Amino acid sequence: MEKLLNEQVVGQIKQAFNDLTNPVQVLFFGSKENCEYCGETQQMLTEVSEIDPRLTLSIHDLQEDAALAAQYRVDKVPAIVIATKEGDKVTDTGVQFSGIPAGYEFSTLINDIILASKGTVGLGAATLEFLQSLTKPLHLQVFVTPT
Amino acid sequence: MAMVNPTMIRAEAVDAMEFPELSQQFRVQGVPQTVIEAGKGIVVGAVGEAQMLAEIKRAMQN
Repeated sequence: MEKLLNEQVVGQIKQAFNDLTNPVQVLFFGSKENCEYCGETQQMLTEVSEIDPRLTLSIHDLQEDAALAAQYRVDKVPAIVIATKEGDKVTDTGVQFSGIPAGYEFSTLINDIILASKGTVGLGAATLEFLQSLTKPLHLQVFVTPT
Repeated sequence: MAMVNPTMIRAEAVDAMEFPELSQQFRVQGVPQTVIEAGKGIVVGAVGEAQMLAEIKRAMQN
């Protein structure tokens, strides 16, 4: 199959991934039904995961792996979940993408992988304090377009 | 934000084109648009951290 990422893009990602610190696992959730962009998204993630050994990819199906999808709060496809990995222990970072991360969203995905690996966030003290003290769930959905 | 407390927070980037019904439900007309807790709060456009935090706090009180 023809590659989605050209050599130049692969080179740029490789350079950006020099900043990776801890291993990251990306979970892909697709579906065999009604998912126009699942194949392309899975292929894109496969190509990204081949760039650096600190990044691993696991492939799942929303229906067949329903329990795992619920655990990671995935309810639509294609979905990408970013998790950290310590040995066999996989920990959800709470960051996920619904839909193919094309265009500008692709840079966001790469940046989020790097942030998860480094475990650093650039937020102020007031924000950190509020978020850390939350006692009920908070769902943030940022609507974006690929261009 | 989610990375600070992933047990409680889920931050989801949604492709507005691929999920038009959801975009219509939250009346997304421009991007980015942030929807807090399924519509309890809505932030249109890219805003600073303080404004986003204020809107999240307001939405979570409702």
